[in-house]
Amino acid sequence: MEKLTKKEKKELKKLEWEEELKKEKRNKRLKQIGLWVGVAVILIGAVYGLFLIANSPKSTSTSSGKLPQVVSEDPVTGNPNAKATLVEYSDFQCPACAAYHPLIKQLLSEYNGKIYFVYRYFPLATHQNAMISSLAAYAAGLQNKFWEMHDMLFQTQNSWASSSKARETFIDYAKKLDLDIDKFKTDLDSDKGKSFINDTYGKGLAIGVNSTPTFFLNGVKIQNPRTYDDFKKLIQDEINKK
Amino acid sequence: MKLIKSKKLFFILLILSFLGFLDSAYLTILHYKNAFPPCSVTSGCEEVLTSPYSVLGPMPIALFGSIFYLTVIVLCLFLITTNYKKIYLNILYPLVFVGFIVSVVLFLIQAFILHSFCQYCVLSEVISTALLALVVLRFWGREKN
Repeated sequence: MEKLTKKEKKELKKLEWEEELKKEKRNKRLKQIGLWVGVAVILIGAVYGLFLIANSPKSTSTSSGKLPQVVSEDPVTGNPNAKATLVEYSDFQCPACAAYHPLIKQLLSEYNGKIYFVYRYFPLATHQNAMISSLAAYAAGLQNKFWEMHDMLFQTQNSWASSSKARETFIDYAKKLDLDIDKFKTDLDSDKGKSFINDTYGKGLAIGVNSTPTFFLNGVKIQNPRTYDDFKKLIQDEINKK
Repeated sequence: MKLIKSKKLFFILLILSFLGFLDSAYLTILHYKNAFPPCSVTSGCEEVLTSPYSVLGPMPIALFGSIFYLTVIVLCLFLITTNYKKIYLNILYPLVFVGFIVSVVLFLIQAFILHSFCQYCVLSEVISTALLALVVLRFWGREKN
């Protein structure tokens, strides 16, 4: 009787032990599955969060001063009496501005006579050739070739953006545009151009411009349109308004 | 003791590669969402992200980065849950090494060709360097033992 109980006890212990082992194994397995599922959930949640962050409208500066009036030195094109006045704060070295360049050209030709376009210098300090390219356009403007230089600069942005010889490149462009080279060089180095560009930049900053391109349509800052059609719709709405 | 050490190490690897994944996934989303990221007053990121070096064919480099970090995460999980099977280590080591080399190349492109840095890209480069450092530490530690 006693022996049997011992045997029984032994077996019971063995059973318990096996059960324990099984439990441990199961726990381990559960833990592992938990780890995988946990990581997967965290990853999916994180990607979802990133989507939300990327989709949230960029916090535009709170300062909302009035858009400065067009002055005689501002490069302008189109009809000054048009119902739609589009002002662009732009940097010749900014890839996004170059990407918008063909859109603007298309708008100007499609709404010929119905739109007034103002270019505002906004050379960003993070771009090494932003200032010199602005000066090149300014100097060309003094010889009535601002828009020709403007187009050239945007079309060839990749070739001079990181060049240490941008100045020479721009002098070449001036030659191509048949400018008076001596005058162009003098204007390129003049303080007058620099101070006008800096002034435009400073006034832009003051009304909350903090990135390029920044567009103002009839004095109101607009979110950068994603496509040409979006842009066209904004202009068309403004023309239809009154 | 060694096991605990390994576990800790792979958890650090896991966390680092998770951060790397967040970083590069964010850039990937930006790439596909926003065709022309505007240039801001404070950072030179857009220049890097819109440069011809930011894509390889039709795919943004950031997508490769995301896949890289995701693979490291999966490998770490396999290692932690399978008691550090050698086969996963044999994949992880060269992968982390390749990731580091790619990071060095990308960093040099920013420094010497584009002359501007993108903070998100630099973060990813720092993380992949840290991954390599950890892996090398473990490898050397094992060799000594």
